[in-house]
Amino acid sequence: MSRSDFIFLLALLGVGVAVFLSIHALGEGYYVMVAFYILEYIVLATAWNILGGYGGYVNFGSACFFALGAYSTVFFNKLFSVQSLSSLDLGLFVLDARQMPYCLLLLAMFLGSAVSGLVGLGTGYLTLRLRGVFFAISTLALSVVTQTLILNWRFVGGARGAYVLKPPEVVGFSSTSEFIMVAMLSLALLSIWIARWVENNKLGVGLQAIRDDEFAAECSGVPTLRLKLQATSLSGALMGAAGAIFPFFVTYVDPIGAFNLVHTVNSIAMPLIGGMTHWSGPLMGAILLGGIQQYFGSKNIITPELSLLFVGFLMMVFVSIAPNGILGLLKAVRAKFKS
Amino acid sequence: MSQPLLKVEQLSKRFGGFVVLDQVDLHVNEGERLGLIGPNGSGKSTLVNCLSGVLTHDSGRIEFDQKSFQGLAPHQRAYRGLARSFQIPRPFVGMTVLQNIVVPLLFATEYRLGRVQSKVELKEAAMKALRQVGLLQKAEELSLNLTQIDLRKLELARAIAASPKLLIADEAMAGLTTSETDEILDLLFALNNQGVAVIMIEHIMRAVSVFSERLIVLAAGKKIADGLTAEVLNDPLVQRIYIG
Repeated sequence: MSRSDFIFLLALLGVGVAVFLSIHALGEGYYVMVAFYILEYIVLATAWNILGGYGGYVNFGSACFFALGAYSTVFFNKLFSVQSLSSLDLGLFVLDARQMPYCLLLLAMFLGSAVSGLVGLGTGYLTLRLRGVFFAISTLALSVVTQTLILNWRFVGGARGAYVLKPPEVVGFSSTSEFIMVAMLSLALLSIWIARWVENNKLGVGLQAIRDDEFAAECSGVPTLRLKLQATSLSGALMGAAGAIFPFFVTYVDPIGAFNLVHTVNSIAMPLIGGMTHWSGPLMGAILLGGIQQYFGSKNIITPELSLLFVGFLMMVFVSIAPNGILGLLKAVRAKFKS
Repeated sequence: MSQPLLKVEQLSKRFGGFVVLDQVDLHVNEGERLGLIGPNGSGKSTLVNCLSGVLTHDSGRIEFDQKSFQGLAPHQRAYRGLARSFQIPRPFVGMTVLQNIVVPLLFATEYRLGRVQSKVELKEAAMKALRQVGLLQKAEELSLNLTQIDLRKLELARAIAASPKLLIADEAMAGLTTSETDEILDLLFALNNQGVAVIMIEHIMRAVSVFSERLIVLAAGKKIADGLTAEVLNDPLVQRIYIG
């Protein structure tokens, strides 16, 4: 690990602790919920940006990868009847009901990211030979096909949806919601770390070359298909991990909620508005857009449907006025000051 | 006699019913300067695309460095030492000039070396390629802002950065002024002096005749001449078809 990596890691952990402490100090469940949703969007936007921002492949299937993670949790819960367990025997030690959530959440995240990562790899292999708008359409189709499958799969609740009970207590946390929020916070920090790592490594350089000119990249020695597959799997896995945490927080998952267009639109809009060339772009976009949506939502000023309209409007404004997002605007301002 | 660096046998390519390359045979020796000319639509670009792996040929055989190119993707061919520049420059527009050169170094060179290069090493190698084409002063500029001649130079620098054995320069001088053409010519000569074989595809006859040791002429997908430049240019058939 280089020195800058170490400093970045420390800063990331510092921010993480600060966020947790301030949410904890506010003490209300409402702030935990707001933080959870914004953090979820940080993960989705950062994950989307790895393929969409760095590689230039627009993925309209964020909701699908997210929902696959959520349904992995549902499937895992049903299959092992996790809800009815009062303790978990791991061989070396036995976890009681208050310790179990740690293990369950980790397992669910692992499973969700594995499922979505593998689906990313598989669909990537089939669709990444398509370029531009054709790739975008195929990811949208993937979303529709998967939603239809889940809708008709009774074991995971079909159209009725499924309940995932929140563990009543978790050791070390004042509420379970706070514990789940911290899990999302950790995932958000991990996503940012991964995005920055990608950006500064061979994968990021290759993806950028692919975005600028895939043909020339391939002739310059960039193994384009392999890099795109790596990006799709990574991006899918992170979205899946976020999806896997989601059911524990909301306790109820149904296809309409899990595959909601809001996930897809937001995960595209946030990097677009924040800026797509740097890890901080999706982060800024998610905080700004997620924050605004939560604020207006809480005041009952806008409904979720209206918030989509608002996001769409903001996207249009940014595409026409600041195509490089907030990051681009900041850069332009800095250049002006310098000159 | 030693084996040629590139050996193409009976190469054919058709788009639907249209035969673009019809059983083309050709070879390039190590360190050779080969000119490839032909009227528009004669199959020159398709040949380059088949050689670099962007298109898959229908039949025939391509051997590079005595190994078959069959089934290899363009990036794998780049690893083996084949580089090409594009007729219309295709820079990575979001990157600086220097970053453009780092791409082949990071992938092709690293593959050949079999180890990770340090940042200092990468920068030095990129600077060397830029120095060679005379773009050192513009290393930190965005490639988006380059002039046409500089874009051509960038194309060449990117192609040669990974020290290829064979460079295919696809109309590297089209649209340039006479003095600019001479600049690119000098560059290609210098490269060749370092042992890189060059296939020059060009419409500028002055450049081709000065540069090429040997000349191949394509017409309607067929090779109609292959020999010493002066002899080929004096061939009545070539004169009738190409020069008119």
